Amino acid sequence: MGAEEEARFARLVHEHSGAVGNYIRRRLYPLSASDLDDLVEETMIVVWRRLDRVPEDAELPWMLGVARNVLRNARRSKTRRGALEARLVPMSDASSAEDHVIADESVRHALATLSEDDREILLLNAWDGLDTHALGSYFVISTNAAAVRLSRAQQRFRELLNDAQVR
Amino acid sequence: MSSIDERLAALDPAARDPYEPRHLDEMISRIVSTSPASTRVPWWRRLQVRLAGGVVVAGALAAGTLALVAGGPTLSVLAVQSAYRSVPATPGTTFAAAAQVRVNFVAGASLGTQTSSSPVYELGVPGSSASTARHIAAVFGDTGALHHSGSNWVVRNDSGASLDYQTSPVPQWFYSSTTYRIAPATKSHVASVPMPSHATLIADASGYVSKLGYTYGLASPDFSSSTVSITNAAGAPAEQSQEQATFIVTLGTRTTDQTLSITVGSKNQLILAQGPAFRVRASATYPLVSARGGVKSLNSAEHALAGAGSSVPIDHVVLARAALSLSAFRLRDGATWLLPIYTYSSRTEKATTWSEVAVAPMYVHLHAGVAAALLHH
Repeated sequence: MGAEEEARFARLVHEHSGAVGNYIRRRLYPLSASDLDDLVEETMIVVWRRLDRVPEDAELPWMLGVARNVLRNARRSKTRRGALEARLVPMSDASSAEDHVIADESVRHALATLSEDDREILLLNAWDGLDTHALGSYFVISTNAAAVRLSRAQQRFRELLNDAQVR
Repeated sequence: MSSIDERLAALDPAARDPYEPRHLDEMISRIVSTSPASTRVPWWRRLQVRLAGGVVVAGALAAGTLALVAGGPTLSVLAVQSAYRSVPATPGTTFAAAAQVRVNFVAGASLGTQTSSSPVYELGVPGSSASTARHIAAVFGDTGALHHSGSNWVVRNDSGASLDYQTSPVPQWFYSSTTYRIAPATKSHVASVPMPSHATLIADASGYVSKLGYTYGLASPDFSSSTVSITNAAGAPAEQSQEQATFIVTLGTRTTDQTLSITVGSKNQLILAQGPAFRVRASATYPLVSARGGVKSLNSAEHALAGAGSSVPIDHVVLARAALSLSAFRLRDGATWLLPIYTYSSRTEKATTWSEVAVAPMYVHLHAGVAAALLHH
């Protein structure tokens, strides 16, 4: 029995650890390579413990949902390693991963003005490559609901971007 | 001005500094050995599984250890016995030895770190080789007598047309419209008369594959013309213009190491043809190492060839490109599989390429000599 789970888990790790790592890197910055490895491993530990719940047709979005919780726990926890916590950049604050690389001020302003929910679904689609089906699995909503939310987030972003460029 | 999508994509932090997974096998072993999995029986255990050939021994998943798995969409370790490629007789014939240096491969900046997955295919050989040979021959209008020798079956017409069907290593068929008593000699590399168009040859080749009942695809046709000197049936010398098209055989979206070619005359009459005679018996999807990750395995194989403590000078070769394709291997149980390989090339060593099995190491066990067979060609 153990060998079956191990093989499936190994496949999930090999196929999706890159995407999980990039998801975390986009939302916590700066982060050393070893700290990022630790957070990826924490995500994979949860995946291993709940392997029977990983849906066959939505493995990556499910795992990103786990990574999302790992990030939240990492920020909230006061018992984390001091060095790691000192380097965390809170996602909900004005300073974010985007701030460190954005040279396009209009886009930066539009992203910052979006609600957290709109920004999250917009970037999950634009950066993490999740389609509406995967977004539905990530947010535990229907595919249609995810499509509507994404469309609205994109529309609001375009409106904010146009406003920022007009000024 | 760039589109909004392009402007968003340009700001992706991971695009500038992508995460590179490291030491995944060690992490997997660490997690599995220290953290209990859920004890619920997953639904996929009820599914049937097809085991890869040559898989033996239950055990912990660790580098170099074979594992037997069963039940559900799980993966077996591929025990590769040999590669169907020409093997250098001695290390002295390899690129490195010829240059009197030991090569250290360096992954160029363009080699990706993204891991992916690829189908692998078990090739099936029909149960009756005699029936298969007759069927293939009939497609080409050859209904002659059947002869058999070892793994080779021949159907030969009284007119001189013959069809050879070989079952090993990768099943192949060869058709010739005429059995020349004296082999043709190439007179020139141009046709002396107008020849059928390339589109006609492409249609011809696709038509033959369809009539033969194979499901592989044909890609990247390469065309060549020639005029050959022949001795006709009456024993008199003659010239014949020929047009040849050679295709790469594909499975799914992947190119393979198999080719199919047809040669026709000026009236589009078939002169020669050859191609693979396999059908896909089974397939599975396996994780791959990244192109960058495969360079490490390449170095391991190269250093093993050079020998421990080798004192020859080290030449660093920067690998700039990696092409992914399928290549034929024989597994321990004798079955033939098409497995993905990376073929690396360098901007400086233009005449040489190096190959490495692309399947993630924990899912493949290479018999000694397989890596060497791939390494230099």
